[in-house]
Amino acid sequence: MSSRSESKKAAREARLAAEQEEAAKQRRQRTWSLIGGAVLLAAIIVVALIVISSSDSGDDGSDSGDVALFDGIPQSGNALGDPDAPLTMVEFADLQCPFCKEYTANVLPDLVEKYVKSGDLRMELNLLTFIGPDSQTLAASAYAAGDQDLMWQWTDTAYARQGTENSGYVDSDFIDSVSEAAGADPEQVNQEAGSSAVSQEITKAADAAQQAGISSTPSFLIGPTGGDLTNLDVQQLETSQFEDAIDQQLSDAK
Amino acid sequence: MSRLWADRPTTVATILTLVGIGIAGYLTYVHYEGLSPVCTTGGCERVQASSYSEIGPIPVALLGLIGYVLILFSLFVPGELGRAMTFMFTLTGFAFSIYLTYLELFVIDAICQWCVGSAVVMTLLFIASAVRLLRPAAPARPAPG
Repeated sequence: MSSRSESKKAAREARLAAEQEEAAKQRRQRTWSLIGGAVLLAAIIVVALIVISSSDSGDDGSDSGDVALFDGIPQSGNALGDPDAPLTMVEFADLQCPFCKEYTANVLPDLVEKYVKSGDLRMELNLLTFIGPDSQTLAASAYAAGDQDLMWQWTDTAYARQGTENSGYVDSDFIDSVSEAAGADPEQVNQEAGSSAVSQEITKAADAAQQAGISSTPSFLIGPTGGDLTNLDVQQLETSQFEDAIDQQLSDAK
Repeated sequence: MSRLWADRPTTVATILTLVGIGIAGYLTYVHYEGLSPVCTTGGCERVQASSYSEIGPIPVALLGLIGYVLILFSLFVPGELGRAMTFMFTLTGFAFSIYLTYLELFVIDAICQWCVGSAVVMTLLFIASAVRLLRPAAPARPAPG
């Protein structure tokens, strides 16, 4: 009797152990299925993000910018507009900076049409080279184009063809094609880019940025021509925000 | 809630997620305010100015913030499904952090301390979430025979 009850107990324990093992096995299978699903989903999301990020990071197209925008506007070196305009706006930019490109494509044309062409505003462009070696090459060539009074056409075209930063897209073919599209003599640009006058311009821009406490691009200073300039703070690179600041300064100047 | 705090990997993950929200929130704030982040590595501005700092119209910092909020939310979802959700979000964040760190080192050529901090937090979060998901569950109570 006792041995029969013991064998029943042993059978029950064996059944329980088997059930527990089966339950544990099912739990493990479920966990690994969830892990597999999570890995698959994560891989899809990450690949999608990387593809979008890479395709967003610049194009090496052959856009020409809007060089006609500057037709008929006086230029001298890095300055655009009537030298006697009551207001001056100084921009600090890096030609590899995507937000500078955004400003140049979306805001600058409106400001040029409304304020520069009317003689109310002159602009100066100070090029910084903090993003990398390609910024240095671009800035030198842009200032060199300024020697032909075509710096604004040159930078507009360089932005339109902006590639991925520090990818080495700024080779001699790139510089020559930008010079040609901007209407500048490529040989003269290349010659002038290596001059001490151009390196002085770049150093001057960096010094001016440091003096004004500029730490990001694009940044802007505004004020009466020949007078003290102050920081023009904009929350977004939108025309209306620049218009508000310029209108305020113009009414103060009158 | 008391169960949450009694569970060590979950507690660690919650604290890390709050740190991550702080970092990503700060970077999102400086992005939209057009400010320069406080920086001791000297490369934050270059990283911030990079075209890689946005994916489409969305700043990467905001994506990070959204990711950390989703992780926090998933930490409060009970059961294995909740743990799997946390694992999936942190794995995504961890893998994307590797890509962003690669960009900083080899493409943008600048290091941003905040991005490195977030990458470290995300790596630790991934480890914590893997431990939560993989650690053996308590054995089931035997059914009455």
